[in-house]
Amino acid sequence: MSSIAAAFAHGLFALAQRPLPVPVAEEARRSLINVIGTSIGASRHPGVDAILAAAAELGVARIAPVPGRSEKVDLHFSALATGFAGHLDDFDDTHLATVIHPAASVLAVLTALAPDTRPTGAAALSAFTLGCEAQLRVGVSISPEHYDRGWHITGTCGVIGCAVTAALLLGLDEAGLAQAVAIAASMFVGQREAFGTMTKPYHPGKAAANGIAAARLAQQGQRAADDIFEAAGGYSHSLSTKVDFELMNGAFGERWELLFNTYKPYPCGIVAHPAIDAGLALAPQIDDVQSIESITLRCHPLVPELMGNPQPKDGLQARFSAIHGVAAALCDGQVGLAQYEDARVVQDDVTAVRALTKLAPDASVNRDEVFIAATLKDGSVIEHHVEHARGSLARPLTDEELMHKVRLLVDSQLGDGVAARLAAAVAALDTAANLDALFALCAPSEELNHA
Amino acid sequence: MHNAAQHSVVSDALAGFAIAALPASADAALDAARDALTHARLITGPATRSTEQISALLQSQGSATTDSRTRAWILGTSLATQAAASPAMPVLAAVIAAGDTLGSSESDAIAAAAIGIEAAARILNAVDSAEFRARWNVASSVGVLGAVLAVSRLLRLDETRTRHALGVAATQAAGLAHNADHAMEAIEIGKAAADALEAAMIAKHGFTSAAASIDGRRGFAALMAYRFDAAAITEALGTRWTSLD
Repeated sequence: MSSIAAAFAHGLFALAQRPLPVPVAEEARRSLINVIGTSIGASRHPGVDAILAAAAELGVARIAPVPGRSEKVDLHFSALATGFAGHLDDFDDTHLATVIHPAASVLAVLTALAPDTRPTGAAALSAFTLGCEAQLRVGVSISPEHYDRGWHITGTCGVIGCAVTAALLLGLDEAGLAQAVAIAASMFVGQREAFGTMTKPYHPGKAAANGIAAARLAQQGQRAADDIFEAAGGYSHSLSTKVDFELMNGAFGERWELLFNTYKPYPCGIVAHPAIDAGLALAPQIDDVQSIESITLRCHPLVPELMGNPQPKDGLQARFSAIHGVAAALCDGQVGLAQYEDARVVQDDVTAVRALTKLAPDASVNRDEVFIAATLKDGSVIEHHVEHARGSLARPLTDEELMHKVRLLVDSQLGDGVAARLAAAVAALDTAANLDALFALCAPSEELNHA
Repeated sequence: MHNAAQHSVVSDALAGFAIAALPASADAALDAARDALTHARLITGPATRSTEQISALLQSQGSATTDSRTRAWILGTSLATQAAASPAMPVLAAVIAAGDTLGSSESDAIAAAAIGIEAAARILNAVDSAEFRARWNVASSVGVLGAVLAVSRLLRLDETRTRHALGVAATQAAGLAHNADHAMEAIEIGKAAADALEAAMIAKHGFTSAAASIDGRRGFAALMAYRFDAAAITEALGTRWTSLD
C-alpha cells in the first residue's frame, strides 16, 4: 500500500504533466496578481527591513529578489521577506473552508527559485497552482480542529505546498516530490499566539523558506519516514485530532480547492469583512459621526473571537478589530491601508466611534453575513443587512475590483501604470519563455530609486 | 489577536534570565557549559553524510558556509549525528556559530551556553510527558527555545528584543517524533539552531512577536504540550541550575 505522501505526490505529479483546466488557470492568475500586489504594497514595511537587515548582517549572497525592493538576498531570505510581505497587511487571499492564505508563501518560493530554475511562464503558473492546491488539500484534511486548537494553518500547511512548488520548479520526479513533502512535514511553522505581531506574516515567509529547503534536501537524496503523514508521531495526527486523508488525496483533477480561493477587499482578517461592508453601507447615510449614539453588529461568534479588539493601539492590532473597520468606514467612507496606519488608528474620531460600537455574537448569523443597527442621538435607527460580504464565495471580487485593489497597492510603490503592466504579464504567462519580464516589473525603477 | 496576553511571567522570566549577569552560584553550570562546548567543537570537526547534505543545501541557496545561520544548521546536525539527541544541541550549535562570527569571548560563549541549556532543561521539565515525546522531536522543539535565548545574549539584545526573539523561535518549534530513526532527526535538530539564530537576528533589527509565546492560550505549551508547569521554568531561575540535576 502506498504511503499518504506517495499518493499525494502521485496525484500532484500527474496534474503537473498536463495543462491546467481553464477555470483553474484563471483562478491561479487572479491569486497570483492579487498576491504580487500585496507583496509589493507591503514591501517597505519595517518587518521587511528587519529581515533584510538580518540577511545583510549575515553576509548572504545577492542572487534572488524581493518584490518591490531593489536589494537582492539569498534564497532563504528572499522567500522569508516575500512571504512575509505578501501576507503582512492581512490583505491577501483566503480559502474560506480552512482559513488558509495560500498564495503568499507560494509566490515567495517562485520569487526565490525563479532566478536559479528559470521556469517558463506555463511551468511557473503550474507550480504556483499546485503549491496552492497541495497546501489547501492538506488543510482540509485536518480542518477544523487544527486551526481551532490554535495552529496558524497558513504556515503549518503552507510549508507542504511550498515544498511542492519548489520540487516542481527544481524538476524533481514523482519520488522526489514525495520525499520533499515528507521532509517538509516536520518543518511546520505557526502558532496563533503571535497574531497581531509581525510573527503572523512571518509564518508564510518561513513556510516558503522551509519548503525550499525540504525540496533541496529531497533533491540530494535525503529521506524522511515514508509514512510521516499517517503514522502516530507523524504530521497529521500530531497536529490534529480529526484527520481525513480522502480530502487530501481524493479526486485529484476533479476537485480543485483553489477554485474556492477568495481575495480580500480590506486589509484585515476575512471575518471582519461583513462588518466593514455594513459600515460602508451606512456611511453615506450618516453625515456626522458625532450624531451616533450607539452601533450594534449582530455577527457570527468568530468575529469577537478573532477580531474582538475593542480599542486597538496601532495598525497591527487594528487588523484584529472588526470594530475599528466599522469606525473607519463610518469616519472615512473607505477602508484601505490608510485606515490601518498607526497614526490613523489612534485618532479621536475613530476612537470615539469604536467606543460606541458593540459586537453581538449570534450563532444563527453566517460567517459572511452581518446585521448592523446604528442608533442616532435623535433617536432614529439606521439598519442594514449584509447577506454576503464582498470578496466572499457568494459575492466574489470582480476582476475590476481586484485590479483596483492591486493598482492602489502597486502603483503607490512602483509608479503609475506598473500594476497594469504586471497584470498583462500575468495574463500572458502561458506563452512567456521565462519570468524575467514579470520580476523586472516588480523591482523599483532606477528613476524611483533616485527620486 | 485581541485575547493574546500582553504580558507573561514565563517569557519575562526567561528573557530576564537571558540578559542578566550570572551570580557565583552559576559556577558549576558554567563549568558544565565549558565542557559541553569543548566537546561539541571536538566532535563537529569531521563531515558526515548529513552535514555534507546540509552544506550542499545551504550553498545551493546562496548561503555561504561561513554565514552563521548556515553554520549553526551544519553544526547542530553534526552534533545530533554523533551523540544521543538532546535539547542542549541546538544551544551549543547556535552558540558556536554565532559566537565565532561575533568574535564573542570564550567566557561570553560559555555563559550563553549555560543559560540556553538551563532554559531548555526547564522548559522541557515544564512540558515533559509521554504524549509530548510521542509526537515531537524533543531536542529540536525545546532546544530552539534555549538556543534563541543564548544567541540573544551573545547579540546583547535588551529584554524586550529577547522576548520578541523567543516568540519568533517558539512559533516555529517543530520536529516530529516519527522521524526519530531517520537522518531527518539530526537535520531537525540542526535546523532548530539555525532557526534560533535567525529569530534572534531579526528581533535585533526590530521584528516583533507574541508576549506570551510559551504559556499563552495559543502558544507553544498550549499547542504542543499535554501538561504545563510554569513554576518549573520560573522558580529560582538564575539561582538553581536544574540542568545540573
